[in-house]
Amino acid sequence: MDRVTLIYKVLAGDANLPEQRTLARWLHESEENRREYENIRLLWRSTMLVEDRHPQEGAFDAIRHRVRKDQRRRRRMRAIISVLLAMIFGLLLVFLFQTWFVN
Amino acid sequence: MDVRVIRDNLQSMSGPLNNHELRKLLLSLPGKAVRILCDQYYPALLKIAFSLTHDHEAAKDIVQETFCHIWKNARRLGAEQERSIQHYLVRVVRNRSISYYHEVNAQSREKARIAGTLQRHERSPESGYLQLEYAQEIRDMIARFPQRERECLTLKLDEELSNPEISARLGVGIKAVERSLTSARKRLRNELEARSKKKT
Repeated sequence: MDRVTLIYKVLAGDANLPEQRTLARWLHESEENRREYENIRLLWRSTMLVEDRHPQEGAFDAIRHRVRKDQRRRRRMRAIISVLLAMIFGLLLVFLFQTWFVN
Repeated sequence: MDVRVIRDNLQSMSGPLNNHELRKLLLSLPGKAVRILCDQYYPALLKIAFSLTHDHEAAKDIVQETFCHIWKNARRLGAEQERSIQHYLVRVVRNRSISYYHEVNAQSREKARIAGTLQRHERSPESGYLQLEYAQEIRDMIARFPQRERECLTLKLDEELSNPEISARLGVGIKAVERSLTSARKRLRNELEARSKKKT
């Protein structure tokens, strides 16, 4: 069973004894496991407290817009860097041509 | 494939999303994976962020930035990892909210410090005079000023008259009023400074 599913099951009080023992063993293994459990418990509790659990259309659109804006910015930066590199390379070629063939 | 169908496949009953499948989806269709995560956890994460920042706009910004981060790093997060995506989401939202809280606190402390400094620097003799609500001590100071300065300053502060009005009331030129006020202010400032030095 997926670990988060197991935690949710225990928190909801739907887990049987072997499942509860599995989670307890996992919690005893490390501090990081306990931290993960705390975070998932917080998420579960917050989900329970939310009145409107319907998918948030506007929120996803805003996220997509941000990601696309960032992608456009990165593409523009890459294009600028490419042009600059091409110019440097061109100037270097001209310089080498003048040094070797003209002189 | 429709997002709803994928989500139903990833979800066991009305429980959380299956991490193994979610990671595979992050690798193949990051946009759809983020949409499913957003549908499932956006309101809860918003609640967590708001409980730490106490600011709706900041909480919204933090949660949206977190999902953007997931989308941009889908390839890395899609690789099999020991920790769950839900844990990662909460951790990022918590850390960013706490950072925001500390940042706002630091900014307000800085603003208060600057405001305090400005207030100290901008305090003119008149405002000092008003702040002490015509304390007898200051009245006594002004009473010892030369007559013209004393009259000009009292009319300026007590009756809030303009320079031409003081000039008309006392029957002297505006220039003379300005000179008297400048001199009176300087005298008052010196007296107040001497008084505060004496107190410290």
